Amino acid sequence: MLFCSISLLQLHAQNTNSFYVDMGGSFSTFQDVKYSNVRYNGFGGEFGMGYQKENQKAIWGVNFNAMFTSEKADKHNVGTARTNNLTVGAKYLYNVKRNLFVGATWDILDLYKKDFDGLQNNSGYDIIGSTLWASGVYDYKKFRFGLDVGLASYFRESRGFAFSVPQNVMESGDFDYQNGKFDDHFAFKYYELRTMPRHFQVRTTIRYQLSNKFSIAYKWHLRKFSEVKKYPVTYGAHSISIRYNVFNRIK
Amino acid sequence: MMRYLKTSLFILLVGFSSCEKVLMEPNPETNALAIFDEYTTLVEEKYAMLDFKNVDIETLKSSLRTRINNSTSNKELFEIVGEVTKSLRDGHSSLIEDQGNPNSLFVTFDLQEGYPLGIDESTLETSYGVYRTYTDYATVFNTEIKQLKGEGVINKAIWGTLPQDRKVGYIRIPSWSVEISDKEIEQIFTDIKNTKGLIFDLRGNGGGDPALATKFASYFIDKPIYNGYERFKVGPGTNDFAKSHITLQPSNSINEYIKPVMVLTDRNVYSASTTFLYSIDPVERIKTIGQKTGGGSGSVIDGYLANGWYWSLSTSEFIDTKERHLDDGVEPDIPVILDLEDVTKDEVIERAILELQ
Repeated sequence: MLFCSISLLQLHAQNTNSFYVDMGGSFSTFQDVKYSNVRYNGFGGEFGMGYQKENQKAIWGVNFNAMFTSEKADKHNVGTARTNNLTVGAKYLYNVKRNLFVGATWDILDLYKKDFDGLQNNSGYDIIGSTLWASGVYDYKKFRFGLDVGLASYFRESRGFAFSVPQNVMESGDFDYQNGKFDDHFAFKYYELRTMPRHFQVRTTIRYQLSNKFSIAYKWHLRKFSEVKKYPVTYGAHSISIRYNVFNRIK
Repeated sequence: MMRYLKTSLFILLVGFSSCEKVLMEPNPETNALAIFDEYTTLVEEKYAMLDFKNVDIETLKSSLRTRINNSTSNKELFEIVGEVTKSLRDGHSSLIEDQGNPNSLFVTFDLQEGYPLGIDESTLETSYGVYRTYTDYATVFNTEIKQLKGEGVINKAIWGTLPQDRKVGYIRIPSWSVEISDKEIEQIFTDIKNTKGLIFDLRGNGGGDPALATKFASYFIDKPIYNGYERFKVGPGTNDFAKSHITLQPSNSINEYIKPVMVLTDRNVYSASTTFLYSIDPVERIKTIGQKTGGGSGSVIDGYLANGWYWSLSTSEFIDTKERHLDDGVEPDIPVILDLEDVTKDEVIERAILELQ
């Protein structure tokens, strides 16, 4: 998940330009009620990098983030769900009040992918798309608090109620073994535009500036949606990461 | 300050880590009744052919549920739950107690039960030079046969002509669970291009990738052909189905094969092989010969019950242009039973050659 969209490099600087790298550990959970109520949980790592510019008026930046976890089922020991989440995003926040910025974050590309060991047609699961968030940042001493609320997502979930193709492919009668499009991540015909609250996403960040070069952050992301009514998919991810500013120019 | 920071992060981590769980459904129970209910609900909501298979799931559930109590052992529970799987008479639907244990309890449908063998590998080898496993001896025995070696010893494809009639082409695909590139498919059809007719030996092919089966089928037509429709379960309700109408598009290859074809079938022709068959079924110059097929027309999905038992279910079925439900198999156009006593010839191949004269 894109966890590093809200960050602070030099809290009280007038103008900063920075390129940073994030490294840390993560914990993720997952449940797809279409197939089982059993939850999956597991630990892994996180890596990110980005560029950010900020001054008293605004914060903007671009970033890449990757998270990898290995999840196990809560109720049995069969199989592992290897989970990868890659995001590429951009953000712009405007200062509206002392220490308070509001704006938007756009996850240009968000790929959430799972591989369930031992399964056949249901071994792969992914969600790919793009999300627009309303974002807010509040600075307090050396802390920066961030909140993103998902406004709209344009995405494709790879499996539907009863088969490993998107639900809208089956509902629209488009299924055909000669039509490889439903295996194509970028077949936009099968993307759906969903808005909150039906498609619920929230992201929080708490960052503490340790020094000019280093900061530490706790980040949390929650997503819940259902392409089949009453059969939601819910996942969450937590991470603690250290940020190192490779360069950090202050004016 | 560092102490304050650590305490804050710890509180946040613990506090937030359960946040998404509040929004999740509770984890299911794993007692015997809960497992029974979980599986029967899956069958009721996802299985696509309860009507066609004449399964009254409500009655079955009620009668089986009474056999479960606090003293029901794991094995007894498996047998009771397995009764539901058996009632589906579906090779795609299975229940396995421990997927990682080859000696585990399992339930599925035996396609071959009640049917004679439809293919004798040793006769194919000794009389026709058709070896299912890769061997140099095959090409010595029959210089006009080629093999496409798979990752293991099983050939991905065997093709060429047979000694009995060099004007008749022969292709055998032992399984669709392989990767055959477009270039390799082109090569196969290039090599048999100048034959007057083709034997496509599908016997023993229990399925695999339907897209590959469809790709092969597309070489046998020169214009789009309507095949029928796949009826998918799209929701939990009894009538939550959606139809995908299928029209096979031609390969448009210069090596397309628009000549008479005899497709050899037996009871183990199943799943993706049924996809191949319904794709070419409307074509008049293509006939099936041999035994009734196994069927398995549906698409399959799988998962784990809360106690880790593996399940798979058919969540669709195919209904062809003649409104036939294909899941229980289809009788061939020309029924021929293999004489297992006579190991000098394969009656199905011999009949196919005769039909192609």
